[in-house]
Amino acid sequence: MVEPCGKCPGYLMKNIFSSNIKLELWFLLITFLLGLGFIVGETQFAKIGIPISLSNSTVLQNPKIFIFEIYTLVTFVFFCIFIFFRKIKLSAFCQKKYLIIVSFIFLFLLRAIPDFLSNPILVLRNSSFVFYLFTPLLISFFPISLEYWKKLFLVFYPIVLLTLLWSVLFFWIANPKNVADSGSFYQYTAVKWSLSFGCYGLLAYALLAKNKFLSLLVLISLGMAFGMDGSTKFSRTNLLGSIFVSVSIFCYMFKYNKSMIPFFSKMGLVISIALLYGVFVKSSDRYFHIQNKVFTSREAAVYANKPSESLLPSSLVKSETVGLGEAYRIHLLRDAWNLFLQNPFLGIGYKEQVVYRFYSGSTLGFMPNDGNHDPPHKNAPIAGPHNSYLNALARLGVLGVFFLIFHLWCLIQLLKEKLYVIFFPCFAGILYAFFNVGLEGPARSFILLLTIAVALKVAQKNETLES
Amino acid sequence: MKHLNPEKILKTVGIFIVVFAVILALPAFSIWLGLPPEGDAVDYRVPLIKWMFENKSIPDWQWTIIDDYPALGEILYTILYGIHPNLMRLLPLLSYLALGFYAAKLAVELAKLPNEGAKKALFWIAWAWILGLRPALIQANLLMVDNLSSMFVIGSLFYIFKNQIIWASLFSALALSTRYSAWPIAIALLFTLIFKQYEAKKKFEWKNIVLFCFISFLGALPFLIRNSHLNNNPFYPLLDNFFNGTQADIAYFIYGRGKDIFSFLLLPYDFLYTNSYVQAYFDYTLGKLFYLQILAFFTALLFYRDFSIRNLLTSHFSLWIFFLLHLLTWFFGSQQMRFFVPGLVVLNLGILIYLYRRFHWTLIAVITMATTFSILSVQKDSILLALGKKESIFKPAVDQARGCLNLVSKDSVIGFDNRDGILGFFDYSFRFYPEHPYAAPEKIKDFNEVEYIYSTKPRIGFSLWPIDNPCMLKRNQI
Repeated sequence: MVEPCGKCPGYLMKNIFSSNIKLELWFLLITFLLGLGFIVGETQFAKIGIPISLSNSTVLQNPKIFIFEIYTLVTFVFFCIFIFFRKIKLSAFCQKKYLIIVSFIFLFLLRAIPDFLSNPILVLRNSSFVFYLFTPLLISFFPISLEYWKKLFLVFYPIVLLTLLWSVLFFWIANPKNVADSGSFYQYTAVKWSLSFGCYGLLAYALLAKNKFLSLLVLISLGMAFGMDGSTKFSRTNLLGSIFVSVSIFCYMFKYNKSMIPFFSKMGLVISIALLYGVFVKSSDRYFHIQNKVFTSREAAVYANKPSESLLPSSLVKSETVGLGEAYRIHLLRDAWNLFLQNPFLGIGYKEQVVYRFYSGSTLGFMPNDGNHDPPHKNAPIAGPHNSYLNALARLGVLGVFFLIFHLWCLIQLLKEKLYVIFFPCFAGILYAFFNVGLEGPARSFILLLTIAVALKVAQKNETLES
Repeated sequence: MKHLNPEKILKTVGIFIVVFAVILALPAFSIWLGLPPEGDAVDYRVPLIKWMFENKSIPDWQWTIIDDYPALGEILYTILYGIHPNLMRLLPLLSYLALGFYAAKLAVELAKLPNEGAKKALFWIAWAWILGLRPALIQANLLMVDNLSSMFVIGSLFYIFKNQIIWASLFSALALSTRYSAWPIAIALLFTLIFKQYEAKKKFEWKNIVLFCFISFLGALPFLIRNSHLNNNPFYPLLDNFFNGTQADIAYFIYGRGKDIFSFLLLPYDFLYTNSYVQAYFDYTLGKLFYLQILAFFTALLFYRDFSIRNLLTSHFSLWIFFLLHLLTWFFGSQQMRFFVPGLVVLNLGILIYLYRRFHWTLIAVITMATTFSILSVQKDSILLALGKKESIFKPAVDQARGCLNLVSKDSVIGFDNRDGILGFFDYSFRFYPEHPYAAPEKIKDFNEVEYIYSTKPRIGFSLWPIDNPCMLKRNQI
């Protein structure tokens, strides 16, 4: 299933740094790095799909086009330049697959017209996941060959590796006392993003590479990143993605009757490094130390020595703060599904919010999604129901299923072409969209959009060959 | 560098760690007369031993029965207490050291090394590794009997592998008379013996097996008889529902995720991840050192692939039988980490022997040196306390207690009405009333419901333990 890419580093060195590279590739690389820069430096201002009209008290409500819209604009400018120099054949647009995709997009945008007049900015934000689809469509026409795309993504992996090492090591050394404490840690580092978009490819590489020391380096950095991730803010997306990669490589090795010892030793290495590093990070933080304090039965009774609490060891009673992380998501998904059931054909459109309320625990109950749902903190309102495909269904009705089908089709295209280097980031993006607001803005869907562009390019090439 | 002998280096490192561990455990002696860093001892262990010494008998109240019965450990504590109260502290320390000693002997027995120097080095290194085992290390400072029981189990296992059945049975009998938690392990030991004998001679040595069962049973017999006589239930308080029809609802089975097959499959995940990061399922964590050992094992595996899982399993088949049975019985019993120490010892030794056989001297030396941090982090509190650099965490409770207990007249009886047994608070002892001995601890809703000895003192809250809030005790006039 997965191509052994033991030659990746050598291939990379030979082709990327020594050959004459097309100008387009450099342009694209710069855009790519810019994108990564935005991802790394994502701030509250770059939050996506914010329901602007719901609240009027926070800074987030400025009705303006956010800076990340620049990706689509850059793509459009490039597209115009290429047309001007006659590098793009517009006849390719007439292919059947393109026509279907474009007609769907226009159908979805038509749905915005009745809402657009009442609150244009809100509609613009909420429909972003539809019109961003133009980005991969336009990029797929760029005169960049699949080989170059492959190289570009091969550059991406070392960048991810370096980012991982940088963020994980540097932040720990720089701020060992409360590295895991603040939420800001997550906003200003690339750990989460790198993991989401690059770790599966890296893991696949490390598991299959024959160079022990290089794979050890990758495994160590991955293990540290997983440790950081697991001990601070557990991400089920990363866990699921990694399990998928591990299982697929396990099946591949099993099928071709290869020794399993390297596989198990490498998996064991990643897990043990993650555990070890995670414990170090965790124990350097006071908050987590108390939260995860391990009790003897007696200590537990000491801890529970408060009139309002049960005498059972508090560590053994699942606290609401632990459960809330799951509870609010379930309510978000349930609400979105109910909205779809209420409007199965046309959806709710772009004027209303899919996340109109937020579950703040059994004591507070449901709160309006206006940024005040977690008192006394002020947060950005929740952008989507943490499943972008469900969001599409709720907004567009039954036709919203197009997104899921389209993305899976892209995955199949990449797999057919054996473009595993691009397959993994694409898979990561789709997986992320299943568990978070993965399609509602370029800051989060940037890499997925690029991989979709490659998939379209593959389809374009295949259709040309067929015809 | 050329003349450096890795075996000698490892031996020196091992001896250093063992001596280091002993030295670091010593400050606990000096602070014994002051405020010890452990609440359990203050609350009910010392009062119990004091009572046993003064009354020259084993009590028959039910409180702490699971912890303290069968009472071999308590009897040993009482004897030491009789010689000098401070000597009590010697028993956990000696058990901790002896546990490491027998584990080291077991490691040498299992590794089957031809070279005498290598054997000695492995002996000291294995001892050092087991002294760094977190649950055992924590227990070394507490007045508990878990290390004693674990030591007897590992001793018995060692003699089984050495094929000295009398000694193996004797140690098994001692384990049975120390703790209820050792009873299921004895079954694992019996099966280990059967498989070991079969492995060696390809036939069942019934004489040895019967001998083992008989001598082991003798260890449990006094407590079986006593329990039957007093409570009509030889396994009291376990299985009391069956024998006496009472509901023994003890907040004792709250550890672990659950007892279904799903929880069993998730056990490695819970051991390694959930317990350390998310939720305390068990009483102790495994500690950083254990993670480091796993890391070393997999690193070695990555670079030396001449490894076969089949070899690992078949070379010590009976050892893994012991581990599996121990794990199973532990899983269906009370899932506390301190009861699983023999299993953890076996795991530790498995990793060590694998590394040792493949000559990973550096890895072994690094991990053994890292043990110092593990020991230091656990013993840190008692050292600081002994040096006077830190105040006992019980100081506020003691101050408040002095005020509260002064309010109670001498002929008062104070305590809780849902427990039977004895609790203590340094110089004070409290008896409980045997109305409903096994009631689960309940949250008291209204503080004005019952008369506590607060008077005008501030109320901290509700606690089962006098050490945390002695004013919470109920006052009854005789």
